[in-house]
Amino acid sequence: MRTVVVDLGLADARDCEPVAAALEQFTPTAEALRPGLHAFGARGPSRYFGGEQALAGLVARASAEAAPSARSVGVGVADGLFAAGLAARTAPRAPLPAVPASALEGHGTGPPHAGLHGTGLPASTAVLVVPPRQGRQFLAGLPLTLLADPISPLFSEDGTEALLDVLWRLGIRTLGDVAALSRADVLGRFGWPGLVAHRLACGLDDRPLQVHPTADSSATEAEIDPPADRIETVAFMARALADDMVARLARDGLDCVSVGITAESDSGHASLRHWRHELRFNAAGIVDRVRWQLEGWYRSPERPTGPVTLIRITPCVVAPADGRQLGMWGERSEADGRAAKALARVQGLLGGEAVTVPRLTGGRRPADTGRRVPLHAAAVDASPAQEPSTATANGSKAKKDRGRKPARRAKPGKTTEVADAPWPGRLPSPQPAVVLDRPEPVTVTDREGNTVTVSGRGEVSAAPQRVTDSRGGSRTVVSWTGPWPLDERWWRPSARRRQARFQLVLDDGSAHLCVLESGRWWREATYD
Amino acid sequence: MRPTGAEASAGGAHERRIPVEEALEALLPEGSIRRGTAVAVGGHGSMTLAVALAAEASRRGSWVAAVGMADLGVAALAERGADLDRWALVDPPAGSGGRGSWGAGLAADVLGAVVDGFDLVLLGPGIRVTGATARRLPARIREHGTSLICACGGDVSGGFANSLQPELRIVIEQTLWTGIDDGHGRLLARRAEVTVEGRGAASRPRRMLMWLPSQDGRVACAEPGQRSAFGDGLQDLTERRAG
Repeated sequence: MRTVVVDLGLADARDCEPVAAALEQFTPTAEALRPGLHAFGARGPSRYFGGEQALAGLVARASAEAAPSARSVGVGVADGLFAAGLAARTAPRAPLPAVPASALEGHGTGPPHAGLHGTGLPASTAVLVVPPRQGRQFLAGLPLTLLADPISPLFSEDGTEALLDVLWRLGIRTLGDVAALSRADVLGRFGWPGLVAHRLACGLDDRPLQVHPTADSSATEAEIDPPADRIETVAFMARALADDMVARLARDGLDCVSVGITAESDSGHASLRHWRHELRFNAAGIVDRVRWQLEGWYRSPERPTGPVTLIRITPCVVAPADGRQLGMWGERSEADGRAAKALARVQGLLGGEAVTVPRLTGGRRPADTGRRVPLHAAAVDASPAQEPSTATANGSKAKKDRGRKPARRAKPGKTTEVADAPWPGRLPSPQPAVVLDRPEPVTVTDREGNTVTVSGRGEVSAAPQRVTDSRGGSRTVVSWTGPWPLDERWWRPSARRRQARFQLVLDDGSAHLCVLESGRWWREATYD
Repeated sequence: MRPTGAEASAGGAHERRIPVEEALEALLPEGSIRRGTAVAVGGHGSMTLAVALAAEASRRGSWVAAVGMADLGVAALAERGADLDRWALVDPPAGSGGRGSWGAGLAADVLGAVVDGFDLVLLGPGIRVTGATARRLPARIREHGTSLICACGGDVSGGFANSLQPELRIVIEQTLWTGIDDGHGRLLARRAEVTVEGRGAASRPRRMLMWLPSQDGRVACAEPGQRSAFGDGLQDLTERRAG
């Protein structure tokens, strides 16, 4: 599908709306991917405006006028979103193209030079049209790293960095190199992300643009005048904004799954947090988030010194409304809602990182076999925008949005497989119930008081007799076992870890996993 | 026939009790944890026992929050049979002056929020509230029907644990690991002697033998017949200490 992408560089989010409005003179179906990055189908408009080259020039000019703060404007036309985006990104920047005035006048788009006399025009614009069916040739010369470009479906994927790292070390430098690989091999070696990368590099971009008119993607905001020094006053203003936003989205058949809330104070401080809902926001839910965010903000060390002057609510992720309702008697879904609400409140108090969800991961050391995934990361991973296939094809996708639990009870896919895979050298059951976040330095001595060591051949110097912790407390070893050697990632010197592990039972009945690494003893875990 | 309202409140998330695994029912005077009450667990192995008590509830769809348990081992949690998708772990972020540090006021607000939203809350050594906040907690959990399990490590009768007015105090008094010896074997199973002390009708302390866990990885109350075997084990331990 021939696609036009307009790239305004790192434009201010507030410039998004005028650009979207400017693009409406070319097409009713322009889609904003993020502030400053817009796309629409080229087929109709290009016929009307005299071909793709002419269309691109007009779009560049209109966008530049609409967003005077943009540093540069790139417009790319190609088969598919990815190629068009990269065309816009990589087109050589040049002075504003000289578009024949007749082209604009002829199509009644208003006074052609209305905005040209201003001084705020961007330094450069660029237009690149990749001819049909030549996307692959165009992409072939581009560097590999563009697979992680914001236009790419792999942009926010967990595994992308690792994928590019491996490809790079395999000597693959350009998208052409990727396209030259066998598709089956790439799929076999890298799974879903590799397949996507291969398809992108081949110029096969099957992610369709949104074809129905976009919902208003810009923020709703309200100046608060006089500035409010009470949270309730702000919440009252936010209620009107939220009602309006939710109603507009509902009219378009969309649910708001995530919102960004910005509050600014007259002392120049600003607070931006993103809030995600397990199902969909209603207006009251958004107002709750506003209240919690302000509470947390006014409590934080960076609290504003002045009253709040502005509140802004941005719908960040919208999903087609699925019409799900709470259970009639407030059973499971009500409990889910209560829990989600409580966690959101805790996040408001302590920050987003404070709430984590436990996930099994593969590994040998206790800290690797299970991890704590921040709630928002786990939630983002399962956002409804994901293609369903990713849930099973990509390990990282299996971290599910716990909030959406009842609707998706599927067992975690790859994560469990990784965790269940044989990890030679992993600890035998039972697993330690306490795994120290940071291992505690200890000393382990033998009967003579010498530190116990392990030779290169895995022989222990003497039986461990006493363990002294970092606070000086000392206990006698009742029974012990080890050393269990662990040599991880020996193929990569910087990441290599060699340990000798011991299980030690002390005279107070406690049992610990202590490790000897580079001549130093650590307590890694406790069998509490 | 009961009125519809009562019927609704008797089922689903409004069950009056938090179920525990069958193997642990003998530990509790009523075979389950009453909603709106607190249980304090102390001694070596309290983390394992606290998690085991909560695992079944998460499997049956209750939400469980673990507050102040920054060191909770995720693999062990899974080994106890907990449904990880129903667990949330709340700890102060590492950046804010080190792990486990939050002001008393903040801790009270966090506890308040968690108690409002969860059926079952585990409290670890990482959170302590004092004074009026602690005294208000029992009323708050009663009101919301939330149950607390406090893994206190050492002290179950003083300080924070006491201010929760636990309905049940479970103290793991003596433990013995099996399967490990001087330089060979490995930790295999742990036998534990546990004292359970309740309030009211259950106020007479009961002594129980437990596996924390057993060789097949389960936390369970031991069969009565195993008492003698454990006695030998204790003696064995004492001898070892003497030597």
